Amino acid sequence: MNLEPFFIAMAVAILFLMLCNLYRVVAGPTVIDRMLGMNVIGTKTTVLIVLIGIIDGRVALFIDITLAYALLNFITTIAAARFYQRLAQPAPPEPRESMVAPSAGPEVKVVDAPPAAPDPVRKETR
Amino acid sequence: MTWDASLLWQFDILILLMMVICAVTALALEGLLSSAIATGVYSFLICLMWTHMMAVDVAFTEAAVGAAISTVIFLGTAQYISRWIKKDRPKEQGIKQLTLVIAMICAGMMLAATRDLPDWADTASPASTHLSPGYIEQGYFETATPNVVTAVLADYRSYDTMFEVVVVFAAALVVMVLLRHTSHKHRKVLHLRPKREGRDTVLRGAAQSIIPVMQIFALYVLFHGHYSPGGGFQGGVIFGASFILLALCYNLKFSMNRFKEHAVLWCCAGGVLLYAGIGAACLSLGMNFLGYGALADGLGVSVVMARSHGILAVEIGVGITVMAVMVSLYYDLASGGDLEDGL
Amino acid sequence: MIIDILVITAMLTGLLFFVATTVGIIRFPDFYSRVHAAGKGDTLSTTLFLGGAILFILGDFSGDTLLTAGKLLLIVFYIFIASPTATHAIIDAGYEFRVPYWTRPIKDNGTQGDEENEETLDNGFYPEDLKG
Repeated sequence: MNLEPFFIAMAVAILFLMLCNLYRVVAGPTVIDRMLGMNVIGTKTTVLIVLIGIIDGRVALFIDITLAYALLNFITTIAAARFYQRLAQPAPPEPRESMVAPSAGPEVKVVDAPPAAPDPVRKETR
Repeated sequence: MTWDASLLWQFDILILLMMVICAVTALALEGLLSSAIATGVYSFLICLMWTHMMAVDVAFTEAAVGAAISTVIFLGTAQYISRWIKKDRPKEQGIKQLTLVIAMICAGMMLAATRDLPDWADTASPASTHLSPGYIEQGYFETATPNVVTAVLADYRSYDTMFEVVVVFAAALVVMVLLRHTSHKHRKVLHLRPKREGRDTVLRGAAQSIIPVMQIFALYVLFHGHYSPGGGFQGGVIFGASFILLALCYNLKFSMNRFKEHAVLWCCAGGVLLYAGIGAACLSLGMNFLGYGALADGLGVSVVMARSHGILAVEIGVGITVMAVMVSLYYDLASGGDLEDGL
Repeated sequence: MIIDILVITAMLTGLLFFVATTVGIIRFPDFYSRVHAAGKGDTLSTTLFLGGAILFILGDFSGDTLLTAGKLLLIVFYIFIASPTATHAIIDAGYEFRVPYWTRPIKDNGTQGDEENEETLDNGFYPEDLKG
């Protein structure tokens, strides 16, 4: 049985699903929603590279790319999450003049950390 | 399976559509982190495009450099500078409009130039009739390297690759000069490191199982570049990414204890020195700069095998430099230049 | 023949889970439930797809295909570890940033509201920094 049309159909279907997931990257509403969209698109890309390799009959060449991709997509998502987490931390205690970047000019000031929000767990018991 | 049939138009249309959406999103979004994420998705898609066009080595480089490391560097830069950005500064609006005009003019010129490009996989184009057949037919017999991309990159076009490595090295130097600008007591510009006892257990467990495989895989990619896609750039990036993952899952200090700053700087320069040193050795032995055939007598092998070994040696140099530069860029960006308090 | 049927079954099931993931990511009202959809469906469907690919590659058995299938198995293993860990990291970051979660609005008499009248992100707290 020739499975090639089936694989092509699968690959096109996954591409359509990627297009749908791109909505989350475009629309947000928050940065971590975009991160989530990026992670999901990256996972689908891993599958797609293998499928393209099977369609072209050269899986052995593409498999190294897929392995590197799977490992590095993980790093990208972790980095995005940790950098975002870092923005949630309180700012350093005393803003000083030297904290302003030298090229930014005198009128710029340090952006404050977001105000503390009510605890989500407590809100649930309302 | 022929090559023509592999170019499926559905793939092209869908990937192109998504790439355009990503590019417009990256421009339109306000937040820098969001824009960095949109460019990351763009990198994923263009890697898919290279894979689809059978440009395997380019796809590998894009997967390693574009999708992973450059996105991490964009994100690090965004979180570093986002605290200094003030919205709606009138001075910047004028510059932005000027940039838009310049970008539109450049895009128009490029679109006009696309008419002169040869078709995809056009065997009658000048590049396919003059230079490529020589590499493809003679490459294996002259360098004993089955992967013609590696042979061209590290042997026939060795000068280019050497200066690419020098550019990468210069990037690390520039970031160091830009970020390490203040005296030590004024450097506390970043937020404090999260106090997170016990909450990173899952990440650390995953990192412990992934990092060893990643490093072995990086060495495999580096040393197997003669036979399969890969080489110094890709292997170096993956090896550097393993240290970045260590720093992300533990913290900067933990990673810097494993790979100290002095070692990073020595590796940065050492790879470039290894590359240039091999070229100088060839020169001193009476051949051209980077003419690896000169090493044949010293190694006790034939000229062809000497070229193969020379390719391997310069790939190792490339790998060392790229690995160290990636780690150095991350150390500087994540800590804001002081290498003290960071992720 | 049997292998082909197995490959088709695995990939169609995987596609089903991909569709479910996509619907969840687009339709769910708040961030936490979206991560829930992505973390579970994506991992399983990737595993199913790559499992189908392994079966297909092992269809013509030789040393080369065995090596390729072994590498694919490695990819499956590491995606199985990495994908849930990545979603864990994302949701940890979201929790630390106090991303608002969705609740069904509560009426005056104490009963929960209708499906039609629900408000997404009830009294949502959106600090400016959430937008990056």
